[in-house]
Amino acid sequence: MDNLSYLFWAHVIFWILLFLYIFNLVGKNKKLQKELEALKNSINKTKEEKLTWQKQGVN
Amino acid sequence: MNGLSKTMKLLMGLTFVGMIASLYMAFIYAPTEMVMGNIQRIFYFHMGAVWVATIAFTVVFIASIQYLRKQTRFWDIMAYSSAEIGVLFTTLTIITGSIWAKPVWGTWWTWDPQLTTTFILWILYIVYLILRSSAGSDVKKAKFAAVFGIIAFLDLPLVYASARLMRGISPVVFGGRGGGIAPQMMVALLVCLITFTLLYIVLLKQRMDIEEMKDEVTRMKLEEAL
Repeated sequence: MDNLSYLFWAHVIFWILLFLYIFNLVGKNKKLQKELEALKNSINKTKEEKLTWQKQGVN
Repeated sequence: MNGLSKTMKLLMGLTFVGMIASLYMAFIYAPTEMVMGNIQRIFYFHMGAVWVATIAFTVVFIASIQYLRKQTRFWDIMAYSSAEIGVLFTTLTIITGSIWAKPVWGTWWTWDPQLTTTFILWILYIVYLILRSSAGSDVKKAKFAAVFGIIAFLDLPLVYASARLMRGISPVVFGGRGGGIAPQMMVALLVCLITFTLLYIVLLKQRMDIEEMKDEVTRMKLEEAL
């Protein structure tokens, strides 16, 4: 390898590792946001159901 | 990523522009080093990685002390997140340094004092990450990891001192024996260091957001179960 190829490979490895880490962060973030959204919906649904039961019980 | 604040979007934009500028400075603006030639251009990103690792481990040190003092999850998350970024950039430091060393020193690796202390630093923080990730929400283990994070930091001044005090082959850029670089190289280096600082802030914020979201998921799962 000449000097330029060392320079090239140093940058290739640098950017690949950095982007892998960034994509990993983005992936985790998206997954957690979906999970949070699903949990929020589930909790809201349960609350609504409880309210409906309470109303039915009162009536 | 969704839900980014205006400040974060601005920081990301600045980091992107800074990275383009850093590449320009490293490959075009900076003059070719007379002895090493073009291979020396690794220096700008190598030093950027060294710089981020230094900031990251310093933050681990400060956040760990704050966690032990205040016992708030914020500092624990900050220390853990910063250590992960620190390990990534120490890995990049070791890899780029090794690729730089091969044509210049004739070897991929040598047990030079600075390289050895950097390697020890890398191992110490990998151990810290293993300790911290195994702790989960266990406060006792988290405190133990924080103490380890503080002790591991003691190796960082050694990395810098080793190049200056011991007889090694690592170059000293700032001060000490044989220090100093051409003014244009210094400008290119400063642009890289500023950009890498911005990159660190962006990565730390995103990594901390993930830990906060994990906490929120755990809290909501408990709420759902009740």
